[in-house]
Amino acid sequence: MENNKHRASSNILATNLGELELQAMEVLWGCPHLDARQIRERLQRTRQPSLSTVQSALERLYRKSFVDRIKQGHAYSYFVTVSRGALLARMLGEAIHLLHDGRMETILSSFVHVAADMDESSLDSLEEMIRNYRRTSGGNDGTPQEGKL
Amino acid sequence: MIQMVGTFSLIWLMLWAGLALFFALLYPLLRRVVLRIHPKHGSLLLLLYWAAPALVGFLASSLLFVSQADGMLISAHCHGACEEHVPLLSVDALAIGGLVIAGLLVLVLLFNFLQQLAKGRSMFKQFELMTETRPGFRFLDAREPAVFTLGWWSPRVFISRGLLESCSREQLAVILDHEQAHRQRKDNLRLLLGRVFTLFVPGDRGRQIRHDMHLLCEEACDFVAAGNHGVASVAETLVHVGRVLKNHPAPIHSRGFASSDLELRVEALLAHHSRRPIPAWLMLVLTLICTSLLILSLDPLHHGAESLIAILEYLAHRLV
Repeated sequence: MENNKHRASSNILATNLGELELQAMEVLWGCPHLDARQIRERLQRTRQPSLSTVQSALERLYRKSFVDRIKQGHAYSYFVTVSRGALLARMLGEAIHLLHDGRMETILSSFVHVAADMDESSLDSLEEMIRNYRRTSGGNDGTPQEGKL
Repeated sequence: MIQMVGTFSLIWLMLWAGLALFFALLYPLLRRVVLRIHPKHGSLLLLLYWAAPALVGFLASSLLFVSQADGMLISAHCHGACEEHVPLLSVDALAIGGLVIAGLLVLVLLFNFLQQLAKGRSMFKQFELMTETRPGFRFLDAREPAVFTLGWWSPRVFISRGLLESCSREQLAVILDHEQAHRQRKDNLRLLLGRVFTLFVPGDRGRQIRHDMHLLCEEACDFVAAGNHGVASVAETLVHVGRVLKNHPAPIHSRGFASSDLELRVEALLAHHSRRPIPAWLMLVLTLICTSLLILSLDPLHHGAESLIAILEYLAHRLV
């Protein structure tokens, strides 16, 4: 196992991963300790990449600390160091970070924005308002008028 | 040719900026109206209101170069010895400056948009590979509660296991109907145009306008969902999802907004009786009034643009 590299996986952004890299990770999550040739054979792609392309992708994954490797004969055997759930959580974290600043609002938007100053009591009073509405409307849920344009 | 394009670019940008600042001063009056009518109409009116400075500026600048407009849309007038009516910036530096500023503006906007698009596309591909298709959305197998829409032409809804486990079937249907309404209304395009149109509105006023546009789009989609599920159910779903996101260690807080849109959206839904659509006859009257105002504004704007050219040339000569 190679431990002579400087790694700080917590600082790595999930978006550093390309399509082929993610597919290689998928293969390794399903079946760890494979070499580049075996990973290439298991890739589900319409156009299978060349062995050197797969090797380059694995090298990048290794540098980004998403996989580690052990030398076995002439080839490296690769295994993932990040679980699928952890990677997904990291990707979600980045999406949430982008939702925070609102700069990508035309491409990425949340169903609800919760302001930082909103507390439990504000949410409670909103629920109370809805209950009051249901009571006063006699259980009728109410549908708004359709604006036609 | 450079002189003509340069003059047009500089005058258009200056008229656009000037009109946008004037419209920004009047905005509090319009804001009261758009936030009280049906959000579908409110969001459209707001977009048209902010499109007006750019479009009117464009029209007035174009008319500088159309001599046939003289006497029709613009009162007949002469320049100097009544030569052909094409006022151009005679100082080359000004014309080139106008061209460069307009070019830079287009490049910056394009770069910004393409950067967002590339980032969104890359995220989209990653999430597509890491998620499963479910009817109407992509399922993220993660504990963290999250629900968001990602993409430009055909945006997809992503919902995490963390959120899905806390939502009922009815609440999920509300979320999907709301997001489907965004897609049908092309809200991402509206918001993008809104950002471009309010480019020259500075500071807090600009942020307020963009927030209002965003809020009205969200409210319009809430109303669409309420048409299928009822206002109380949609309001309950909003509060429920807000609470789930809020209670998570890394909630989706929005720093871009001074107050929560959640509160405003729930209030709008519960007061849906007062958010009436604009009747067709009133829409017709509004269109007639706006068209008349546009025609009446062209003459002063034309002469204003000519004065602007004269002032710019005077200043350029003084500086040189």
